[in-house]
Amino acid sequence: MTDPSMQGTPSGTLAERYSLAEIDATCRKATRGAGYPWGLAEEAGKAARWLAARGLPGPEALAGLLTENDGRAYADMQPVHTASGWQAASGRLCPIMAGAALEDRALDLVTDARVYASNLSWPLLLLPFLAQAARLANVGLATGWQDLEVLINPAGIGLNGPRERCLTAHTSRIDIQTADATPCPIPSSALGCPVPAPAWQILDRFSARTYVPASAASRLAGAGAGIHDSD
Amino acid sequence: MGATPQQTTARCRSPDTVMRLARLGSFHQCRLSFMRTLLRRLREEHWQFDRPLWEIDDRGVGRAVYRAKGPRHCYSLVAFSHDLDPALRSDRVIATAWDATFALFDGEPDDADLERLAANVPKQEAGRISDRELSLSRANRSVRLWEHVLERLAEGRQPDAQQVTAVGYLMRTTAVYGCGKFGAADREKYIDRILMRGPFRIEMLSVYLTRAFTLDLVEHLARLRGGERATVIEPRLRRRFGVGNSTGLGMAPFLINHPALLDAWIQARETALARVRAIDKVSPEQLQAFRKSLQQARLNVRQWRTEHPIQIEKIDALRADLATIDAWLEAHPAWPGIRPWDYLYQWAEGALSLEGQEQLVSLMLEPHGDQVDALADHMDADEAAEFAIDGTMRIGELNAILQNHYAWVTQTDYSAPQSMARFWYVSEEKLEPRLGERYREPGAEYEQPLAVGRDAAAVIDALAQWAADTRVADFLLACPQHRHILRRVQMTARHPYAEIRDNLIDQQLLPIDLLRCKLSFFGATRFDPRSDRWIRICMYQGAPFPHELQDLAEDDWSLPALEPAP
Repeated sequence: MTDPSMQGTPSGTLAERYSLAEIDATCRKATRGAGYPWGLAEEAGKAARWLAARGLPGPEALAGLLTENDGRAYADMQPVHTASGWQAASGRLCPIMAGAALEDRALDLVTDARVYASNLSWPLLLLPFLAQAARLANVGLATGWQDLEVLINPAGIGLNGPRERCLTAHTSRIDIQTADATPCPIPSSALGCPVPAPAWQILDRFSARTYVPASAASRLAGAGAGIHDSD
Repeated sequence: MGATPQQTTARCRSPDTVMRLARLGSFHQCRLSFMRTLLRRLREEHWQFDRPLWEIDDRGVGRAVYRAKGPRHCYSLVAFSHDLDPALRSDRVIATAWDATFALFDGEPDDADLERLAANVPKQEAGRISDRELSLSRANRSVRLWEHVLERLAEGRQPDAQQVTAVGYLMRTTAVYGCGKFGAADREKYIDRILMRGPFRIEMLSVYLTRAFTLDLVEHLARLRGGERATVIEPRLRRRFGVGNSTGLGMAPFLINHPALLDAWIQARETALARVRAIDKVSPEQLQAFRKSLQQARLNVRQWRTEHPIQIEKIDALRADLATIDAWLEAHPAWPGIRPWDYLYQWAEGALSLEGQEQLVSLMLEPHGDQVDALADHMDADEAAEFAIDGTMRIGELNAILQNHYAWVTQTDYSAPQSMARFWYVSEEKLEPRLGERYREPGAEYEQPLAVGRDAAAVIDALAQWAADTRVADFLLACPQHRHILRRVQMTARHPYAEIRDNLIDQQLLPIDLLRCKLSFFGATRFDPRSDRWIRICMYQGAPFPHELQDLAEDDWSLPALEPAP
């Protein structure tokens, strides 16, 4: 890679800057490649993009999640709402599926005032959905895991605590409650975001599953080759 | 959206009428086309153009910078000119070398920027650009016309006007990548700038400056070849050179992947038509302007060349249609009378082919810039704001939307092989969209979500099992496979022109209809399909060059001039 935007990340691995559009598209295709339906893959792309625009490691978290959930059946992963909150039908709860379910029920956050999710993977990926839910329901939310505190309101999201918690792979329980939250919102940037090479390679590998190899016939039919085009 | 139909008394055409492939594939450029709206804006804001760098040797190799300076921002087209082995010259996206490569730079590049771009831009997809760049593109020479023009100019003679008109350009662009591709700046970086409020402004500006480069380059090389004897092209003939574009399936899924944007484009054009049809009386000047445009359109269709049988048939029909309109005007001296455009349009619906009807729509808008042009400010969409699903909606309401806007899907039997014959996929080789044969080629399990009709039919089926008062959120939790189509359905309730109302995986699908629709909004002319999925067009033919923009009449270039060129 010759791009001068290559830079070191805190963990020391090389990272190339990708545009938000590239992050969105690659994460969407990768999620589809890992077996999620297109509609949820679109949610994953937008979530990773939203995090990346705020300098948060959404693409890395997604790379971790997809590796973990590769090939899992939806029947296993399906979020189920029980008396003790949201959990997966079996195993760990996927933050994309849980996030979509919470966002689709944004107004319930107001009436319920408190929502739990247990055995959740990569909690960072839940945040874009909560931010959207906060906007839809016009409500403030407080959540967090380990020693990371997250405040959300319709204007944005603020994190208090060690940033490395963003890449927490699993939390046994997360507690989301309505709050009079006034975060100091992380500004969003339109200038793209560096993504460490190992994470991008994972996303690329999952994306590649959605590509179809060319055959001689498809090349010919593909765009009308075989017709003189250099006149 | 601000293109408010209630400002008119005539109604917009129904989406069931407009959003059919055969009609969309018959669209023509009009006052709202993006090339025209860009040039109007550049002129209005008194943009200044110059060429701060020109380092091209006698083989045509080197670099140049074209600078556009506006009241608040500046953009620079950085052009790299190459000595291409003729054996490598191909318009297909799988090409790896080109006659010229370009990047549109945000601001003015310094030496380090130019070095960085020189290392990356000539490689196109294999290179990386940065958030300082807004687009990446390339072009190939039209060998026949290039050689002819170069030879003539070197000898001190003008090129042959007929050859210039027939081919229409010295170079063809084969891809113009913007919006964050290959590391370029995301749209969010520039969307708040006044010049950039409109679809494809970056791409249209890049191609506009590219056209100037192609003419400068051929004149420069003629001077080096012919020395003292050489000449430059006479300005009126020079304007007959547009810039070509060769486009394949890569562009086709765009309209389906951007439903809110498609709605904004169609809404603007339909609102324009409705406003014009609502006009009670036209002035003699407006009438005269229409008659002139009609004659220009007749000239345009005479100059339009294609070898593709479908397009030949369509051009023949259009030629006959335009003659029919002329004859009708002759035979109806009482016209215009009251509400002349509405009268004419209603007659045309029964009398003309789709090509003719849509050409007439474009022509009717020509005299009425005061009613039409401001609609160009409403052709963008905030797609991020459209993304969220309304999970609180009840299935009953969803069913009503489906009945209103997706009744067309019930006309297709999706268990029939011909209805499912195709599938859209992304090729591993070039990461470009392609169309496969479902029953003959592998890869359908990786199908892109572009089979809107089939997916809508499937969700209609699935919903039949669900109670009307169930929330969409609960349906989606059980059936996540319908999330994609459900998002579209909810969007279409807000944006009635969002959806193309035809089966996009049918055996009979003509992808060129999708290309034609999009390219007509760009303002392209001379549609020349090379197959059912690959098309050549001409852009900016007749337009003033940057240095002439302030001096020539505003926006009267998009149809060929009636007076003969010298």
